[in-house]
Amino acid sequence: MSHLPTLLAVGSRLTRSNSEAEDLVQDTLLKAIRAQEHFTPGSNMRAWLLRILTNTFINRYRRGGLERSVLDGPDADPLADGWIGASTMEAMRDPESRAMRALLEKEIVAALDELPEEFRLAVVLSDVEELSYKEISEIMGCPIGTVMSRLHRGRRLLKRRLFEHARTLGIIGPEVEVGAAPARAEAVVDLSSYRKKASNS
Amino acid sequence: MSCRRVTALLEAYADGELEPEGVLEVEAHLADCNDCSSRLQLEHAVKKSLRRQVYAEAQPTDAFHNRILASLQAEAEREAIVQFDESSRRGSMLSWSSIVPLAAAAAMALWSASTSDPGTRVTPGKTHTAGFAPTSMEQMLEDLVDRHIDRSKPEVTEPSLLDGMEPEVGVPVHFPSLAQYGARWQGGRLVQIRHEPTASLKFLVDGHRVTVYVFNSEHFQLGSPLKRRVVRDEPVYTGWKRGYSIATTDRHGVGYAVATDLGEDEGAEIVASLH
Repeated sequence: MSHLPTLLAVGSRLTRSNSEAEDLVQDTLLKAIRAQEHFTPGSNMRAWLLRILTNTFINRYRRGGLERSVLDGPDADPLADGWIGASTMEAMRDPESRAMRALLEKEIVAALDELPEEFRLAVVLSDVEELSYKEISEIMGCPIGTVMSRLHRGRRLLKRRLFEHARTLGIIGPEVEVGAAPARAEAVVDLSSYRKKASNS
Repeated sequence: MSCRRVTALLEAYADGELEPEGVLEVEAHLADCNDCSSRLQLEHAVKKSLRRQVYAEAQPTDAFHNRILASLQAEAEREAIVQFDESSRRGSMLSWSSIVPLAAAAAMALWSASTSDPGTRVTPGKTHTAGFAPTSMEQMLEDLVDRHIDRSKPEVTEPSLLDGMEPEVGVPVHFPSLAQYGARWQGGRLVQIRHEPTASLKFLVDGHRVTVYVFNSEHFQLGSPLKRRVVRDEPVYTGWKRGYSIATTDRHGVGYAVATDLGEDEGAEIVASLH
C-alpha cells in the first residue's frame, strides 16, 4: 500500500487520466497479489509493481504494445546544437528551488503528456521514479540502448516544449533561436499529427 | 573533451549511469565550461520539477484509498478461501469460522468445485475389483464404511454453509440436527461414494460416531444385500459391513445413508428421521 502514490502517479501519466489511472492501479494491485509468488524477495518491489502496471496498461489499452513515436527522422536538439546559451538556461530555472521556474513547472505535466507513450513512460520511470536503465528496460521489455534513446528523445522533446513555452511567456527573449526554422516546423507538424493519432486511438 | 561529446554523456551522467571513466571526463569538463554546467543544472531542474508535478497531479484521494482497501480485502478473503480449500485437500484444518461470512457464498462455489478428490483416494485395504461396474451395492457399502472411518478433519463446521455443497452433490444438502438423539455435530466434508460427490456429515451420539451421507439417489440402486424394512412408514434398507451398521433410504430422489457403530435399529431410526 505504501506504493499507492507511486502507482497512481505513473498510472496517471500513462493514461493521462486520473480516473482511468485509478482503475489501472486497482487492477495492478490485484494482479500483484495473485502473482505474489513470482516476486523475488529482496528485489525492488516498486519496480516489480511498475512492470505489472505497465503490462496491465498495455493489455487493456494497447493490444499492440506501447504507442510508438511518430517523430522519426532527424530532429535537432536545441541544447546540444548550441542554440541555447547558459544565460537562457539560467533564466528557465528558479535558483532557490533548483527546479524550473514556477510558471514553467506548471506546464511540465502538460508537456510530458504530449510525448508519445514510449518516451513518456521512459521519462517518468527515470526522472520521476529514478529507476535504473536496467530496471526500466525490464519494465518496458526492451534493451538498455532503446531505453537510453527513448529517454534522450523524450527529454529533448520535453525541453523543446518548455523552451517554446518560456518564449511565449517572455521568460526567455525573442532573440534566442529556440528551434531554428526547420526544427521548429518539424516539431509543430509532428506534435499535431501525434495528437491526431492519439485522439483516433 | 568537446561540449558536444559531454552533452552526449550528460544525460547518463545526470542519471547516475555513466561508467567511472566517463564521470571523470565529464566532471573535468564541467569544471571549466559554463554552458555545460548550465545544461546539467537544467537537466536536474527538469527532473526535480517533473517529480514534484507528477506527484502533485495524482494524489490518492481518501475515496480511492478506501476503494483499494476494499478490493484488497475482498481479494484477501478470496485468497483465504483458496488456502482453506487447499489445506482441506491436504487434510489439514483451517478454521472455517475465521473466514468472513460475506465471502461464504463465493467460497462455497469454489470450495465445492475443487474438493472432489479426497474421496477418490484409494484407502489401504480397499480393492477396486469391479472397476466402474454399475453401482454395485457392495462397493457402495465399502465406500460408506471407508469414508465413515476416515478421520480427516471436516471442511465445514458451520451448518448454514452446508447448502454450498448442493451444486456438487446435485441435491439439496440441509443440516440434520439429530438433536432428538443428543447428537453432537462434528463437521462435514465432500467425499466420493462410487465416484459420486456425496456430502458426509459427522456426528457423535453417546460417544458413538455417526456419519450421515446425502447423495443423489439416481446414481445408486438401493437394495440387496441390504434388507428392506419399514420405519415410520418409510422404506429403509439396512445391513452390516465390516462391523458397522449401514442404513439407507431414498426420499424423492435424495439419498440418505447412515454408517455407525451403533446398532442396525439405531441406524435405521436415524436415517428414517432424515428428510
